[in-house]
Amino acid sequence: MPEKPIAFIFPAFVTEYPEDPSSNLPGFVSYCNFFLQKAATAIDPELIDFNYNAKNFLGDELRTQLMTYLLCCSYSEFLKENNIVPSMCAGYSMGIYAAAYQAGSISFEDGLFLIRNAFMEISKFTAGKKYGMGTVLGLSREDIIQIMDEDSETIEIVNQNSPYSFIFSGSLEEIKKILDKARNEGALNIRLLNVTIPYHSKLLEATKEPFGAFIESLSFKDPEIPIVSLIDQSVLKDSSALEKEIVRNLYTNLNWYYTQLQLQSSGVRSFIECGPGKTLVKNAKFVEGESRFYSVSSLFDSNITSSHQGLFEK
Amino acid sequence: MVKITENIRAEVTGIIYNFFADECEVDLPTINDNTNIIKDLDGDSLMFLELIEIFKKKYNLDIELKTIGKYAVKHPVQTIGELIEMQMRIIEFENKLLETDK
Repeated sequence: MPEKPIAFIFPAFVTEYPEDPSSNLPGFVSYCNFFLQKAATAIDPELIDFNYNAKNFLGDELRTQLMTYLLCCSYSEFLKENNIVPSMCAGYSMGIYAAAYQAGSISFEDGLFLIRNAFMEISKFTAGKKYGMGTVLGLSREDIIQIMDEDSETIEIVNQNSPYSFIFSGSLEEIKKILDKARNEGALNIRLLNVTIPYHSKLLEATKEPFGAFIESLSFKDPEIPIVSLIDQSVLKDSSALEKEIVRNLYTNLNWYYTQLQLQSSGVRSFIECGPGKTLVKNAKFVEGESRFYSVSSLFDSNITSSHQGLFEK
Repeated sequence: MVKITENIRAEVTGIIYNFFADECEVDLPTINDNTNIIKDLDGDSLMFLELIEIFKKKYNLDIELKTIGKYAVKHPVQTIGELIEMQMRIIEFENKLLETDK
């Protein structure tokens, strides 16, 4: 039986839409359509053509980010409608925008504008250069640092999912090299991510001023629900702290593993991944502790709904 | 080093079969030694890592993950049967796993 307090956790942009949620989440589609309509009006008319099964937009980095944000917001609103409410939240990488929306700090539309502006500013600084990201599973941080020291100039460990799961950003050439080295060093799995931007690395530090200026033009409110920082695991309690976090998120290393531990030590007993897929749920298996992790779909699965009654207040 | 017995083999086999049935949400009887972990079960490397951790705890194994990774490059696993054989060798040889190739 899942316990309260609950944290909503929001994934980064997806590389695929793994399942159509309409079959086991009655009512979800209406939220999705509601936000699609708003997004099409506010930022991109073509978004209205999104079809979960057609898997459209996956080849378009910006639209994939917009769609992931939109779906995350749909899931969190759907849960709230079912009286499942979080005590805290956190957003993995670009999931910070959905966390900010969920916490009541920004409007849905401002979240879209933030994503588009961040993407545009980043694109200016990365134009003509070949960057990328990669993941390594099965090596420790010490092992990885050892293979990085030899000839890595742009490579940074930009996120950690578990004690043995790391994400890199850097030049595409160096990312490929380090993935090869990691494989030779004994990594259980290596993967080149389908992105062209070195997120969360110093390579993007030049976005600080223009993106910061854009954020100042928006109207942020203090979060109604505490958001935990992935940068230093502090609790972001006011709008100023959240604005700084969103700016720094682009060019600063994150640590998702420590963030989960922090949420857990703050008392969170149940984590719900509000987004398409269950990437965060899968990675959470390596988080020590008593808390449980759920995808939204698993909460509404007819086979196990009875064991989740504690979450529902209706 | 754990001496491999028929009981241990049966135990390891049972754990692996049940693990994939649960994780991949398939009926246990549909899994056999020839089942392809990726193509048939949509399994992934996180599941492999989770299984390693299960066996490390259960048999108190002294083995580094990177030793298993290096071994797996030379002996890639595709089926449940191949995974069971690899786990048996991990349990039997622990950190000396790579020496068994010499």
